[in-house]
Amino acid sequence: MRFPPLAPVEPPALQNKPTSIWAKDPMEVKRTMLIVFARVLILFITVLILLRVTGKKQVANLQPAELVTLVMVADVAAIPMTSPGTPLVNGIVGIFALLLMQFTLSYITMKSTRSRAIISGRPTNVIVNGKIVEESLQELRYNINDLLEQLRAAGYPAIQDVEWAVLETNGQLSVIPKSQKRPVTPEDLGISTQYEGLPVPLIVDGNPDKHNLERIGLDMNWLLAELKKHGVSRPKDVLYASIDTQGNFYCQPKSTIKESSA
Amino acid sequence: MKRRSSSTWILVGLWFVALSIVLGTWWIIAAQTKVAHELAQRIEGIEAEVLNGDWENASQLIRELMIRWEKTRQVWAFHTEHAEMDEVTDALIEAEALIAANEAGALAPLRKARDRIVTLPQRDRLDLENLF
Repeated sequence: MRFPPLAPVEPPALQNKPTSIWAKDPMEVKRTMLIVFARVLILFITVLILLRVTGKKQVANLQPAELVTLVMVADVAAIPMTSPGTPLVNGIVGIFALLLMQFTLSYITMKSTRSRAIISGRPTNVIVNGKIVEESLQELRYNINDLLEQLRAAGYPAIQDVEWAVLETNGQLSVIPKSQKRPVTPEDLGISTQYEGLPVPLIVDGNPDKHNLERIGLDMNWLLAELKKHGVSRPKDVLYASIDTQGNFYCQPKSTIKESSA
Repeated sequence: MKRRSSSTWILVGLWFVALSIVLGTWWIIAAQTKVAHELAQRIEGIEAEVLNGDWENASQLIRELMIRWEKTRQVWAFHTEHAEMDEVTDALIEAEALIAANEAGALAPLRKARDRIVTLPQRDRLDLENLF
């Protein structure tokens, strides 16, 4: 194919051409900073939602699938966070996919014991009746030093004190000591004890918890009367107040109130 | 009727959103392909004008194309890598400048822009080539 003859280039004419609609903006750098800032906020909220939906145990005890989710979510969120050229939706869809997989696996493991064993594994006995199970250690590729370390961390430096030790699916070692080595309980001594429930918070940071008051069959009038007994006129002046299962009322006024009254 | 737990409803909701994402992506790719072909046809028209040596008409057509591309780019920016679209923009700017200078070399950036535009929706398609 033959091209038409080349015309001479006229630089002044080119320079006089109207500015392109893609002309560089001097504020471009600052805009990029703002984009990164906004993206970090959006992705932070997205990741927070993911962690809230996946459950509280996520932070404390990680099952293999949960660990994978946490490791991957950091990477998936980091790419669109730091690269303004990557569409934000790519990161959000990635995080959503992780959330979907994690939630689905949690649901399956909750409903089926067999799939639970496949996805999360099974707890393994590493000490049975005071004896180390060598087969278990070999199967888990878990050496005796690691076992001793975890036993010491659990408060049992001597293996002879341990009846059972179970390596849980989240990697923690549960230790059941021999009956002669466990702490003495009131039951062992034949001492009767009273019921001890949890104290119920009634005022936190000056805010009365009406839900808790209703739950234990009390009301604001009772609370105000109790506060008066402790020399406090308003719930707003209380840092923390609670009631235990024996009916003992605890009240700590805010320090500013104490100082002003003194 | 057996009452389902909130976990079940959340799971159903998540899978519903996942299905919506899949269908939405399929729809976006279909729409993107359609627009890409329209833009490619426009570029072919400009290429023909360049080959005919009709620089005035070619200049007018590329100006219109650039305005159309800018609008398209703003929509595609939601789901397409910006760097890939910048390549098209750069090629079109180059072609515009060469056409303004009555240079037949404008055919090269035009061909590049056409190829990139047609390729963009293909990169988002869920197929083995893109997966691996």
